[in-house]
Amino acid sequence: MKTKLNGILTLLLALVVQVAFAQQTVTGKVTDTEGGLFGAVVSVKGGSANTTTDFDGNYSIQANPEDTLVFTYSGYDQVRVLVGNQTVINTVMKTSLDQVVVIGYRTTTAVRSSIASSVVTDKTIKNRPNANILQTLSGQVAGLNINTTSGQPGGDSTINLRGIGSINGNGEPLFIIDGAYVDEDNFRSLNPQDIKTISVLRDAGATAIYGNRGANGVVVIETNQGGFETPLEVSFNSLTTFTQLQDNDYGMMNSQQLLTLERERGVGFGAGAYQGTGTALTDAEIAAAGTNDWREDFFRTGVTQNNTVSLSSGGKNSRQFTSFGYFDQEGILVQSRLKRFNLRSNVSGRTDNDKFNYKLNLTANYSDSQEPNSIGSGAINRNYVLAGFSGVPWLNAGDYTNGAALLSPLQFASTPLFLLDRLKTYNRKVEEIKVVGSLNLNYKITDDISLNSTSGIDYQNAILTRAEGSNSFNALLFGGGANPTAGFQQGSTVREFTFNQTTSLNYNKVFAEKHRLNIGLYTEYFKAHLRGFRYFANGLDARTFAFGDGSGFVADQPTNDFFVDTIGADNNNSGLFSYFGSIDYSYDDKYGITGTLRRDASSRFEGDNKWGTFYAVSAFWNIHKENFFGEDSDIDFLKLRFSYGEVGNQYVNQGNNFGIFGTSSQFTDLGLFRDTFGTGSGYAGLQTVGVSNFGLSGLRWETTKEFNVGLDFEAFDSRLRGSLDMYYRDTTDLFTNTNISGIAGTNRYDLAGNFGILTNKGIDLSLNYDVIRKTEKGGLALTVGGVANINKNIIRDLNTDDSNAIIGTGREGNRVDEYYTIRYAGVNPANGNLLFLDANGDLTENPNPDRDRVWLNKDLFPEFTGSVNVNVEYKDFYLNTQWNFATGLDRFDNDLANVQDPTSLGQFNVSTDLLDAWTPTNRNTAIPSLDATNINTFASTRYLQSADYLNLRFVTLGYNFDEAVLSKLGVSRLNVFFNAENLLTFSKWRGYDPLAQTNGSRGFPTPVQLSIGLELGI
Amino acid sequence: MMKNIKIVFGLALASLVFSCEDATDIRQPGVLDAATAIQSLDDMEDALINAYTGMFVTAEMHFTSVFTDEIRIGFDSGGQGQSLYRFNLASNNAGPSNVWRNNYSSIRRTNLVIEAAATVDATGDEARRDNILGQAHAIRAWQHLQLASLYIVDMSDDTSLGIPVVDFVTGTGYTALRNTTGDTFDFIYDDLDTAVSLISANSGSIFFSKDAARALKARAAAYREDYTTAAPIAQTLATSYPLAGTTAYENVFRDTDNSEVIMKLERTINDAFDGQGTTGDSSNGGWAGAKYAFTGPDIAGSPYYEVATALYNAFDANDVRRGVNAAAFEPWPAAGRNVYTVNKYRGSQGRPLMNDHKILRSSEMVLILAEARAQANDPAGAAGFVDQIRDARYGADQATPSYGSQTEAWGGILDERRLEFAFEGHRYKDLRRMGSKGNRTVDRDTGDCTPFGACTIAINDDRFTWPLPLVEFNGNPALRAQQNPGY
Repeated sequence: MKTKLNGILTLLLALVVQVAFAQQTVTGKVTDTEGGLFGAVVSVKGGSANTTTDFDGNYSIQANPEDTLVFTYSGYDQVRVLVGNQTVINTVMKTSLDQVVVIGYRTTTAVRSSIASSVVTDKTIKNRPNANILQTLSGQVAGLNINTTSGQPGGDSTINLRGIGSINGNGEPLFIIDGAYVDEDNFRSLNPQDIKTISVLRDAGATAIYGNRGANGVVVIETNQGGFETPLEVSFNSLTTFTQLQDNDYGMMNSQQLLTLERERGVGFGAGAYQGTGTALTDAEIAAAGTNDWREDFFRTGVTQNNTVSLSSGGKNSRQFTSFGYFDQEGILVQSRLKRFNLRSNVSGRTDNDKFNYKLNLTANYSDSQEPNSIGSGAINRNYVLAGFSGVPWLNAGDYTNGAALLSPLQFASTPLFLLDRLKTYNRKVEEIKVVGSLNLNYKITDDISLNSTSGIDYQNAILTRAEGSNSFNALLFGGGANPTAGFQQGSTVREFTFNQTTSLNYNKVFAEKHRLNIGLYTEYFKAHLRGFRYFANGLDARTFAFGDGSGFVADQPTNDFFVDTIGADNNNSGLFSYFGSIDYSYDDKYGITGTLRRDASSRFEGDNKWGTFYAVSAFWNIHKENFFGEDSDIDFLKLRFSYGEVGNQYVNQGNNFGIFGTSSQFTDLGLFRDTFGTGSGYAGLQTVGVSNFGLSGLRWETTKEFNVGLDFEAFDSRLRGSLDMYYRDTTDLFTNTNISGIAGTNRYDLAGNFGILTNKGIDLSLNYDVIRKTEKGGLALTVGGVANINKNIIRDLNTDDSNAIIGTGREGNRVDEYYTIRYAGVNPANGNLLFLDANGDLTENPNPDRDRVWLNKDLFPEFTGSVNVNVEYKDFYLNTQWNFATGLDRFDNDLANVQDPTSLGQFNVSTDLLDAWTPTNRNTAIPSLDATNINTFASTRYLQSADYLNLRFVTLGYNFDEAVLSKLGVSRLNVFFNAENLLTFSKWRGYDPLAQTNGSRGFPTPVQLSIGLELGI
Repeated sequence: MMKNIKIVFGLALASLVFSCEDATDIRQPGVLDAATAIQSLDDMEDALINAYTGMFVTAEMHFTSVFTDEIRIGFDSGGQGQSLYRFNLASNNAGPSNVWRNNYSSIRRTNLVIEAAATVDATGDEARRDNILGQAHAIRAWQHLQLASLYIVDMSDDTSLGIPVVDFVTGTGYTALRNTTGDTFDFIYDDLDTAVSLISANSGSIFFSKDAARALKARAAAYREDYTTAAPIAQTLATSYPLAGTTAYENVFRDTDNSEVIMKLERTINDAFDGQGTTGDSSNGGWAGAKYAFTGPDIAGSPYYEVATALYNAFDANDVRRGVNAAAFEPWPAAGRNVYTVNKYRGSQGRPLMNDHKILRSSEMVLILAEARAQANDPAGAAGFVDQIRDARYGADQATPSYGSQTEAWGGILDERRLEFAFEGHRYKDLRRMGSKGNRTVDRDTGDCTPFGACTIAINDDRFTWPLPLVEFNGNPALRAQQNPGY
């Protein structure tokens, strides 16, 4: 292929050579990221001189100093350089505008796109240490908020695009991998290294074609493909990561401080209470006590191995990409670990005449995930984090013997020992098989008409096994004397299979070279199947029990019912059927308009509500093509976009899953529309029949109506590139709860339904600027950029009584999930009690827990988010940094509340803040008296803190070895790098994880990750 | 060629269109259509069990123990109940909100059975149908009475605001205002009379029998101060169910004896209540004992509440009820004092903390008789009935108490009920009903209550009636005007 091209271009070269009048001779080399570009056109702006580059990208041209050279190459951005006194001008060309962009079931070029979308490429995805790709996306797309509240390897993140789009519906975007729809909550088994691009479709103009699943954005992921006519390339990526617990500012006490305070207060070990002697420790005994940091027992430096080998190659009519991945991440919390194997094979081919194309993308993965549960809970016998954060420092691991020894005396202060016992006697893991595949067939019936078929599958089988030994502290504790073998093992296997089939007929035609028309007609079938089975075996015989094995199960005994095991099974289906169409018209790449229309039927609804219609219209205008700005304008590209669309959301999320175990969002809340009864076990263990669902006859999808105006621009020789979007989005027929009377007898005060409007309005901005461009190989290049989003959300048309507010949802016309509580006002200097403000703003020690609550105009969600990145290249080094920031989010620091709670004394370690507690001689303090009579009495703003942050999300420093040297070794590419994720955070937040948007406590913090890696190409 | 492809494509498209219903019309398995769920007597019986499943006392037990004077905050607690112990009771509290919705939910379940009785074909099996129907009426009365006893300010005032009475299967949009107290109690009486006429069993412990329905009516009548109705029933039942001896009494609370038990709520291994439930919270469900301790009886069971000092001291050493209600750890150095753990719910069938709720006992009948005498201004008569209880509990003849006035008689009955029904959810209601008449209120030991700054509350305080739950008003705004005073 290349030789053929060479021939043609040599011919062209000969044709374009002309006589030039002597000015000065400018020479140079045109390159792209891969090396010299052959056949690039170099011309003098406004003049007639032009030339093309040779095989190595070299050129030579005559020009005046005041001339501007224009470098053009198909698929790349035009570059312009003022000649000045330079005689050597080297240029690096970049692609962007002509790159193919996804616009929903079809693609176009950036120039002709009329939608708001962001594309993230493997450049910023590859070689990141996160097991879950979503976490890597954080800060890379304007308006995409990735909230990760757990450091569990591969754990799920909550994703919101442009604010909270739904209250009781699934607010997460639709994810599509190579045409297959996949579970948005499960990426732990997939290998991020296989991903080529991630397109985030942000406005309704783009998402309406996805009908009743596109309302909260669509994320289209494409994986790597081989290239046609490409020799085999083997590449190897290896990353070793060390993960660590983030630090905190709680200022926990050491043993001397704690024991002294305990002695003073007459509680705990310091006062002799723990020992049961009642004799307080002496000064000498306190001084001799060691201080143990329990974080060292329950947290660790985790080591991650992440290796991927990929093979790509292509012949004339076929190409393939194959990769193998192995990933093993130890979480920073004990017993958390994710191991996985990934296999991917992407094969595609075409007929000689290119009439028929096929593409098969298949990935098969196995993961083994150890996931401790009860994390975040207050269970002193189950949550490891609790021991790590607040275990008393005068105990250490040497104080543990066995579970039985902890039973008497049973004391809270032994919490870290209970949990050491759990570490030894409890195991929990989820094994998962996940297969995602898609087959894409394309047949060109004529040059203009093609028939397409895309079939996608997502199969996942999650197998949970957990067991607690009979000799464990917990089993002995709850079993009591009557049941000495109270251990248990639970197992479940849940298989979910989703299948989608899209068939389409597409018509593409260019009329009179300027009128471009694209029409598509589609049908889509989507079906999801769940099959599950589970058991819970009560009673384990310690002699024969082994984790995961059933030999040690204790059979039901004639004398009691302790060992009756429970079993369960699920068999559920859900589905969608849709037909839809799209029409795209553009004129001369200047103006264009797009329309989409979709009809969807969902199994979640019935009758008139079963079918829904969604549509969008969008348009673009490439203003730079209008010559408004003159030839010499600094503006290279300026596009105005507009879109309006209506999109649906079928995923009601009321938490009524009819007892289906371990389901994804495809199987929650099925059949909510009708009144149903179920059978089960009730009073005295007898069989019952009763209502299982109070039917919601009017239930229908949520509809999102979005208006978007956007500008894409490039200026100053494309040094400045960016886009700005403004949106206004109303989610109507909101899935939320209707308030009902308890007298109606549903055992609730609310009922799922569609009412109210949630508005999100805001601005997305993304900008990049090449501060310094590379002028020669090895020169300095500096690019700064960033993304930002400002979002405001408003809830309206609430179904309330006269107060116009629903506690927990918000006030009419205000933000959703607004905090509503009593205002804390500090410590009463007179007596050390807590002071609050009543509803009128007057100080009180005894507020009314109901009437003195006020709306605070604060919530958990950020209003202004984004990132700033700075990328530097010099010689063979590169340095990339990404800073994420968020403002306008407020969280309750419940971990601080725990360590400042004087009633924890004697049981847990506490903050040194308590040493500053109010006393008659220390009246001016922020810490109430340890004897305050109204502590732990009123929920208030005392621990409400701003959690605004600036976070060094990612930094990488790398070195590319010189290709000339490498080629002698038979290596085409070698790159070594060091990177850090979540390295540094500036925030007023005192706790372990400033970034986690949660009001929970005792959670599993996300770690700091430091990696070294290499990438090798042969 | 072109033509063929068009045909193939057309067929492919058509096949998808015609097969789409397979993806969109999906009936989930495992559920019954509401219209056909209850068609036979067997179905009715299962629906009745579902109504029994809605009978709880755990929320009111927890509330009562913490708000009044049955517990002290445990020395090794995790901070449970401190706000409620400080008498913080507002319309958003857990207890009022949970009991309201739980009870109306159970009432709806009884109404399903009652309405089904009219349609289910019971030809030849009418007695079985009536037995089921009668029990549904009794459960419905029990639920209404529990609501009445917590949310009605003055149960003896027929013209005052009662509670909404629900006698049919409500739709989800149903709202209601409060009936009068008179209507409420008339409804309860009617239901119980119906129950007595329909239920086949005279006695029997874990389901409603005729006797249980009668006992409930005696209780309702006493709450209403209708002692002319209450006394004869109470007298009959007190005769049929003699007070237990001391050993039997202990065994009653170990669930191994049913002496003097007219009815109890069964709690057994692997039933719907077999679990810890929510600890430290006025919510229903879970093991009874888990409302006081995390894992088991005694100090080893991690008690977050202990027996209140004043309550423990009120038990005589020779009173069997002291040991039934409290396990003593004297002294317990880790606490730096004596510790008394709640002992009434040690567990049964080998399951720690799991016990049946003995909701109707003949001792209550005897004390209703005492109340009737006090009401009639017969202090000596009242003392005689109180003495019957004491003789039984001490296992030996005790001196008859001497009440110098009607007020003292009420006070004495209240004191005796405090001992007899400790940790059973009665104390709050008893103080409501008789506190003013007997000149009693919450009685907390200063050592228990001083650290919390919460030692007394006036007996006429509005917090001696529960608020209607705040959350109810969102869906039933008109009811807000009928909120109880003080909230």
